[in-house]
Amino acid sequence: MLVLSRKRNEAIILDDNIEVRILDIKGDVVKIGIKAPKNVKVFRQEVYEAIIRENREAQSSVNQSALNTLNALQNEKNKQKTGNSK
Amino acid sequence: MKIKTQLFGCLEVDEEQVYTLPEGLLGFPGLQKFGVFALPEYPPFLGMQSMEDSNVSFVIVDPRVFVADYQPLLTDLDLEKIKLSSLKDALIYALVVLNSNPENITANLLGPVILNPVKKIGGQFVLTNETDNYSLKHRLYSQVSPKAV
Repeated sequence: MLVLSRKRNEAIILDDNIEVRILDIKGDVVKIGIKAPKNVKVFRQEVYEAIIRENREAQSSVNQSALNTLNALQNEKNKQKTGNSK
Repeated sequence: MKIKTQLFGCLEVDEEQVYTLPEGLLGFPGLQKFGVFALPEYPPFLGMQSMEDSNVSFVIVDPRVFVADYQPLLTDLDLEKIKLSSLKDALIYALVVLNSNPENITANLLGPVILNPVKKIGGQFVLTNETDNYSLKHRLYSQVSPKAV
C-alpha cells in the first residue's frame, strides 16, 4: 500500500481526474472531500462490504424450506381475507 | 430462453423478462443478465435468476408493498445509467433474505434493484443519501403474530 502524509487542505490526485482532499481533522475523525467524474463510484467501505454480504446472504437464503414459509404466510393472509369478508 | 435452476426448476424465461445489469450486483461480478418473473405461489414475491449462472437465484419484492412511502432517491446520473428520466417509470425491487422464521425475513432497502421495464436495463443502487436512512435488513414480518405462522 502506498502511504502518503497530508496536512489539512492538502490533496492527492488519482489517475488525473480524481481529487481526494483532507478538509478537516478533529481528534480521530478526518473529513475528506472527493472530486471525481460522475461515473466513479464512491462508497464508505463498510457500506460497500455490507451490500456485498447482504447480496450473498440473499442468494444463499433461497431454498425450498424458506420458500415454503413464504407460501404459508400467503395462505394465512388469504384465509384472513376470506374470513373478514364473510 | 430456457435455463435450468436448482430452485425454480427448469425455467422458460421470456426475452421480455430478461434485464441487463451493466454493472451487475455487488458480490456477483461478471453476471449481467437476470430474468425477473412472478412467483405465482408466493405473491407478492418475485424471482430473479441469473441467466449466466444457474446457481444464482434471488427472491425479490417491491418494497412499497410493505413500506408504502418507500422512495429511494437516485441521482440524475443513476437514472441516466438505466435510461430513465424519472423513477415513476421504474420497477423497484429489494433483494430478500429468506428465513424459515418469518420474523427474520428481511429486505435490503438500502441497495434496491431498479429496472427500466421498457429498455430492459437496470442496476443495484446503493442509497448514499444520508437522510434516507433505509435499512439493509428491513424486517418484513415483524408484526406477524405467532398464530399467523
